[in-house]
Amino acid sequence: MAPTTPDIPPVTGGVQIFRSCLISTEYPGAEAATKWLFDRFDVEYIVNEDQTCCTGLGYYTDMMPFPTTMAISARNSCVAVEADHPIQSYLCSTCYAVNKKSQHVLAVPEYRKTANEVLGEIGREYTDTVDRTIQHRHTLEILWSRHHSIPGLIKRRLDGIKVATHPACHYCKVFPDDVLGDSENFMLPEDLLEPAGVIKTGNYNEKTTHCGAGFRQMFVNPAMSQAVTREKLKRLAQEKIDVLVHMCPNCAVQFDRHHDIISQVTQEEYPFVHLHVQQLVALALGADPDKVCGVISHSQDVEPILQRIGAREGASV
Amino acid sequence: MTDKNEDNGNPEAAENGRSGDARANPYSFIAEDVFCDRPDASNDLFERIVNDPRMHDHVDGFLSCIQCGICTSGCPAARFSDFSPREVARRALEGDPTLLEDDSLWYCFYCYTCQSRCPRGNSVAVINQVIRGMQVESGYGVKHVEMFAAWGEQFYEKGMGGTPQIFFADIAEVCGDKWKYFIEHREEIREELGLGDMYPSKKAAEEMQTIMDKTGFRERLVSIGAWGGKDPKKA
Repeated sequence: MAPTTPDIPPVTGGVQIFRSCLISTEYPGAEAATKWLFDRFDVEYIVNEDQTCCTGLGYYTDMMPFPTTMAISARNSCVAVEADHPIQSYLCSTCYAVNKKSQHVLAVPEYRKTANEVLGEIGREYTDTVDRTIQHRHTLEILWSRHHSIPGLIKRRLDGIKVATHPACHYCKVFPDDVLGDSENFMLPEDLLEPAGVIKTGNYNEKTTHCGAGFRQMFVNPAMSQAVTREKLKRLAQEKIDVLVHMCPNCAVQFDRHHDIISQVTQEEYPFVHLHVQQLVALALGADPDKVCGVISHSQDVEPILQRIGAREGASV
Repeated sequence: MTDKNEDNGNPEAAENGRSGDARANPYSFIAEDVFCDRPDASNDLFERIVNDPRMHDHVDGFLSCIQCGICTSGCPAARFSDFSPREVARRALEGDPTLLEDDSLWYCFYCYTCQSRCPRGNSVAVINQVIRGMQVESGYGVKHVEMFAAWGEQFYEKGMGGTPQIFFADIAEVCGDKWKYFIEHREEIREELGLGDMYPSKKAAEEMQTIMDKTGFRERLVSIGAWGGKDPKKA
């Protein structure tokens, strides 16, 4: 299956890895794998301790008023521009959408004025310069912009491993016109993995279906939440995939941590595992499964896949 | 309908089988709203939706909703509950005040499938965010958010989110010992991965708290029961 993701020039100009609360607390290997890949692709980046949470979980559980979220996003943009690393590289699709949405609202003078009244209290201002300079990019876009480097760096082939993409809703559906590729059939993750020899799934029935997490729903309406997830798991089992690759930790938590309970309740088998895209790319390039990819945090056992690709031999950190 | 032989002094009406009243004012049928019982429209609800900052990209789409139902065909909540984005869009346009005490909106997953597919550019996902917010402010919707109050306290104090700790026991039951092990050893695992402290700097957390205070988030937390309902910054 030929790649369909359009080529883009290498993203350069100072990247700041935007730390995600759920990546940090549930899948820290996705952050470590990103840094490891950025090092190999010559992406100049920082991690900034002055960057705070995007507030996505607070906002989407309807606890946090939007003015709070927007002002915090404005602050984070100021911080990144001040640090001369204005290309935010989001590990989580909710962080991506929250910040991009805030930028859209901040473009309206009346709303920017309200945000700046608050930022003035901490000696900051979201100016035209900040607005023009800040860039909100999903980490996968930055990796894709360097994808020509991948074939020369492959250490472990992934031949015979069938992967499917779970396209994160907050990347594909909040700003569908900005998606790198087709928002209704997002292929970037599989295109990124193609040089390593994966079998691509491409489109599948339920591909665009939501993961089921739904922020509050995972905790407050678990039956409904897991019913949605089950539709995807069932369909993907029919596709006979080995790995479902993820681009958002909300989805990864929903799928990876609830995979077993859903299987138990439905008595259906879903014989595949879950990895973030960058973890699988890093594994193909020789990264250590524990010290770089942090596979211990995964609920579904990825050891059989690691054995298949020889990931336990000659790993790099 | 009158008997078609009765002409009410209007032979033509009688011939056509219609009452004299309908001929005199054919619009009375519509003006009397006989199709269904509708509550009085709330202009306040309609105006608040249309003027919400989050709707500024979607107002034209909202006002030109054609009730095609594409939003509902892709909606995961509509698939498994009685929530209907299409219905919410219609009721919002009509300023239906019963939306302010409607629990079905709380099934929305905020997946934005409706927004991405709407041929007009409407966003029921955003409309839901606005109305849910109004419900929380009015007090009606507090029951839908109070279970997250403790998480909100954690967020306010540390400046960072994560899986709410109050749900850890439930999650451990579902996810088992492997997850528990990871959570208990998370700091060492993070260190081995070469990752620093996951919390923001002290300065950043302080700035964030100022923002949360000035934009009403601390008050909101108190109103939904955080800190036992007592504002920690007031004597």
